[in-house]
Amino acid sequence: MTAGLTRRRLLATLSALGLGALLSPASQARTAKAGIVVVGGGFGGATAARLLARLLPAARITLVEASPHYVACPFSNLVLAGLREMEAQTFAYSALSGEGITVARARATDVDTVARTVALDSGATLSYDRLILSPGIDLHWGALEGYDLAAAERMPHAWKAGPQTLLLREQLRAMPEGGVVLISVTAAPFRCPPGPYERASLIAGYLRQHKPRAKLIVLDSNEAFSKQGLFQAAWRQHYGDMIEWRSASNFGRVIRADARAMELHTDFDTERGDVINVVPPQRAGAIAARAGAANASGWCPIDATSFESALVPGVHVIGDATIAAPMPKSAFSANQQAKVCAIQVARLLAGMAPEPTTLANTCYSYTTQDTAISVSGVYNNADGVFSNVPGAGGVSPSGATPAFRQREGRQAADWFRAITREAFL
Amino acid sequence: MRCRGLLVGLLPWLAGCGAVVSEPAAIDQAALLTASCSGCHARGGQAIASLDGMPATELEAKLLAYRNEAEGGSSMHRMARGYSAEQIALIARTLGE
Ligand SMILES: Cc1cc2nc3c(=O)[nH]c(=O)nc-3n(C[C@H](O)[C@H](O)[C@H](O)COP(=O)(O)OP(=O)(O)OC[C@H]3O[C@@H](n4cnc5c(N)ncnc54)[C@H](O)[C@@H]3O)c2cc1C
Repeated sequence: MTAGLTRRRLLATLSALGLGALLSPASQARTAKAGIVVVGGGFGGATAARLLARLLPAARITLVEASPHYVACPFSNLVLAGLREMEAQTFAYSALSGEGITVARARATDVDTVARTVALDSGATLSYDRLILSPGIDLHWGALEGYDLAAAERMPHAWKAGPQTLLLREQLRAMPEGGVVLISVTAAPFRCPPGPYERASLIAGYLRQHKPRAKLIVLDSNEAFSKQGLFQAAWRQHYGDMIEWRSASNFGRVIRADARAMELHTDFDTERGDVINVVPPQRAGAIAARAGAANASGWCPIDATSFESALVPGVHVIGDATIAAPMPKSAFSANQQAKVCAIQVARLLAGMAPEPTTLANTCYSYTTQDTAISVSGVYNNADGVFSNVPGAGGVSPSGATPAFRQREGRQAADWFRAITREAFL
Repeated sequence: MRCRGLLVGLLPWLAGCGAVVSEPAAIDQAALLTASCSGCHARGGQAIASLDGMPATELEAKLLAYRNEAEGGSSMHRMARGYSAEQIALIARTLGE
C-alpha cells in the first residue's frame, strides 16, 4: 500500500503548496466536508474506515465500535484446541485513531435514514452523508428452541470469539476421557461456512492427543458442507473414526437444546453430550434492522456494485450482515468488500457512478495443527448482482501431498498476519 | 507510474477546464481490482508472498502463468483463472514497480 501512502503524502504536499485550491468549490464541498460514519470495527468496518481516511483525507470519518478492542474469529479454532492464545486474536484501535479516524467507543442504537443521523448509547448523535454498516452477526436467541443466553453458558457457541472461546476450551480440557463432544450446526446461511468443520478437525486433534477414547459427533442441519470431500478425507486420515458427521436427513437436524440435561434433540432422537457446542441461528447485527436495511430473512440485501442497501438510500452494508452469495460470510470477503465499498463511496461523493469490478475470496481451514485446505471463488458484481466467474475458483486438490497441505497451512497463517495488519495494525 | 497516478487523482476536478482527464487513480478500476490482492499481499512484508520491489513485467508473467497452468491447484491458480489478460495486465501495472 505504498502507493496509497505516497499518494497521500503527495496530496498533502500539493495542498501545502496551495494546489488544493485547484479543486472546484463544488467538489471541495462535496468531498471535504463529507461526513462518513462506519458502524462496526471488525474486518469490514476497520478496513473501510482506514481506506476512506486515505481516499478522502479531508472528510470527517467516524468509526463507531462498541468494544475497546477487537477479538478475531479466524484462528480462534486453534485457541480452542490449545494451540494459540487469545492475545494473538486481540487487536486495539489505536492505529486507526492516529490516521484521522474518530473512533467512537459506543454502541450505535438507532439510525434515522431521513435525517441521516446515527444515535449512540453514549447519548451522542452523528450525522452522515454516507453510512457504512459492518455490524457482523447477532446470534438469533430462541430461534433454536431452548438455546438462549443462559443456555450458552452451558453449551457455548464460541461463534463470536472471546469469553465463549475460552469457556469451550475449558470444557474440553475438563471433559472426562471417553466423553462425547457434540457440535450442532445451524442451517445455512451462517458466518464462516467451513468454520464448524475446521473446528471439528482441530478439536479431534486435541482429543486424539489428550483423550483418545473420546467421540465427536457433528449434528448438521445441512445436507452438505463446504470442502466436504477434503474434510472427510482428512478426518479419516488423521482421526480414524473419532468424528461422526450426520446430515440433516440422517437425523442430524437439531430442533431443541436442553442445557440442563446437556442434550440435543433431533427430529428423531436425543443425543447427550459431555461438551456441547452449538453453532446457532444467526442474522445481521441488530443495528442493520434498526436502520431498515435488513429484510425478513434477517440479512441485508444490497446493490452488489455499490454495496448500497437495496432498502434504504445512503446506507451501505458490507461483511457478514449482507446477502452477498455466492460470496461467503468470511473475513476475507468482509475486508475486500470494505475496500470496494470505500472506493464506491468516494466515487459517489465525487459525483461519479459506482463501477463494477471483479472480487475474489479464499478461505483456509486447518485440518490438523499444521495442514490446511482452501476454497476460492472469483465474482463479478456488475448490474448490482454478484455472480461466479465461470471456470474459476474451487477447492484444494484431493489427494495432494502432505507438503502441499502444509504449504496451505503456512499460507493461512501468513494470510491472518497480512489481513489483520491491513485492518488493525 | 506512481507519480502519474498521484497527479491524475487531482485531475477530474479540472474536467470543466477542458483538461485531458482519467479518473482518480485511487478510486478507479485499478484500485477496485487490486482490492482483492492487498488482504494477503500488502506492502511491507508480512504477506503470503511479498510483492515488494517486484517489477510489473515479472508480476504479469507470474499471474498469467497461474491463469494458464491448467494443472495448478494452489489458491492463486484457482483465482487467477477468473481474470482476463487485460485485468491481469492492469493489476500488474498497479502493484508492480
Ligand atoms: C470459528 C470461526 C472461524 C473463522 N475463520 C475464518 C477464516 O479462517 N477466514 C475468514 O475469512 N473468515 C473466518 N471467519 C469469519 C469471520 O470472522 C467473519 O466473516 C468476519 O469477522 C466478518 O467481518 P464483519 O466486519 O462483517 O463483522 P465482525 O468482524 O463481527 O465485526 C463487527 C463489529 O461490529 C461491532 N458492532 C456490531 N454492532 C454494533 C453497534 N450497533 N454499534 C457499535 N459496534 C457494533 C462488533 O462489536 C464487532 O466488532 C471465522 C468465523 C468463526 C466464527
